[in-house]
Amino acid sequence: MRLRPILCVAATLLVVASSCKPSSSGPRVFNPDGLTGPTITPPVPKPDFVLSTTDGKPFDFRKETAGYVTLLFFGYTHCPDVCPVHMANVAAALAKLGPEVNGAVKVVFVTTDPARDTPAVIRAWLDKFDPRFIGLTGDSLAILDALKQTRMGAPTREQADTTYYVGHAAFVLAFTRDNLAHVVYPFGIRQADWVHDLKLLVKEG
Amino acid sequence: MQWWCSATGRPWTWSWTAYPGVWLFVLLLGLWYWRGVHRAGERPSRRETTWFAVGLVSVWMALDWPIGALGAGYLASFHTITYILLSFIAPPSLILAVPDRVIRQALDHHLWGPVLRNAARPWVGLGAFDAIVLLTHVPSVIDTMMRFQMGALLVDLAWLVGGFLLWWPVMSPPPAARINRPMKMAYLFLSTIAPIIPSAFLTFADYPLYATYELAPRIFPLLTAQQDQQVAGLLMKLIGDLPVWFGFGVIFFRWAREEERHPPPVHPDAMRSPGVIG
Repeated sequence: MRLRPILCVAATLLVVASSCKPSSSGPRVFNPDGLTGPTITPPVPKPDFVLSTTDGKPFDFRKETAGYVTLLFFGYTHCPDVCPVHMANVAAALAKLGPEVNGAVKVVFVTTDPARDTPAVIRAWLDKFDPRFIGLTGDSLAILDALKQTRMGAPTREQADTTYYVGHAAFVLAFTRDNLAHVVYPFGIRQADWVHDLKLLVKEG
Repeated sequence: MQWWCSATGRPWTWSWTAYPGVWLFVLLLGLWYWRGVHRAGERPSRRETTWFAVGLVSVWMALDWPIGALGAGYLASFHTITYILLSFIAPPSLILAVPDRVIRQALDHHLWGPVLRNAARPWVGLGAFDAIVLLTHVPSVIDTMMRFQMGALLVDLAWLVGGFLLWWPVMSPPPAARINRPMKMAYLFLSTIAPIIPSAFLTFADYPLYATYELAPRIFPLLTAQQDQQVAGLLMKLIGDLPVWFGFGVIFFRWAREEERHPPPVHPDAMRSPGVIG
């Protein structure tokens, strides 16, 4: 029974220590203080899904992104507003950051419009921002399952004159190395915010 | 329906959009000119009519679709084109369009007279123009104002009024004019200094300065928000200064031509030959 207060003090000290010296070895406790992106409580667990890359290879999301800070975004290449701005701002931020951050971050884009977003279309679109960005596609049910796991709603189709738009969540989930997304990036996050937060996420997460 | 171009956040389409407020503004500006000229019993010359057309078309192009719409909510570079048209092209063209007699009558007007005479003071023109340029390029001001049609209208009007205040001291006719030609040239040179500040920030900033343009739906996928901002900064300095240097050149060459035609009287001492002095 007496051990309890000691453990509490030890845990507090661990949190304080990890926030002061994030690069120290030992168990990490993610401290999202100082991040621009709003935090999620409780954090979202990293989803477990397998989709296809633009090369046609299977991509096990949990396995392939283990040990990396992973930005996950569900969108579509015909998106006229949110998707290209998010991708462009993340790409611009990564371009400003050194190899230490770049090597520790993976950006994964999952299409919500598999009918139009063929692997080639996704690849060509992502290459405009950053060729390192990973593009994933699959059948609608598999994508829907991935969305559900990340607590996001199903995409909706909105018919326009000659085309259609896909309604989807407009935020990027940032998974840290603890396989949790503690923080989310809604539309409106700017390049300077990304630079600030990515450095912290890599350091802390 | 939107009556004035502002930032809507909606995806851009190349299909024409009507902005009735802009048309009304251009129409009222034209009617104001026509009324002023006819009330004075003047018939504008062909040259004045041409300058009026240039001025009015500049205002219309700056404010209406596509330049006005792109500048209000999508591209900083087009916002700078609007700024150049409203501050450096339209005002001098419209001043040149007004017959001298109409200006003289306006100077005698009980309301407009004092305003126009005071506005011809160089420190008033330069101070007001510099303040407007600096204030209307502050990121928080632009990000707030451009979201509303009234805010965007105020920014556009500020640039137009700022342009008139800038050009009036160098273009006002003799009854209002307060500075001579060398002073006018110095004044124009000084007017190019304040825009260096926003232009340098736009060109050399590490990040996009305005959320309005950074988060706007992209128009040209290969043009990033920062590149667009850099283009804006370069346009502001390289193209925005051209009309000022053109004005500088006109004043200089007119001055030189007049000196040639009517050389200043030579002091009698200067006529003495060295032999006489010796």
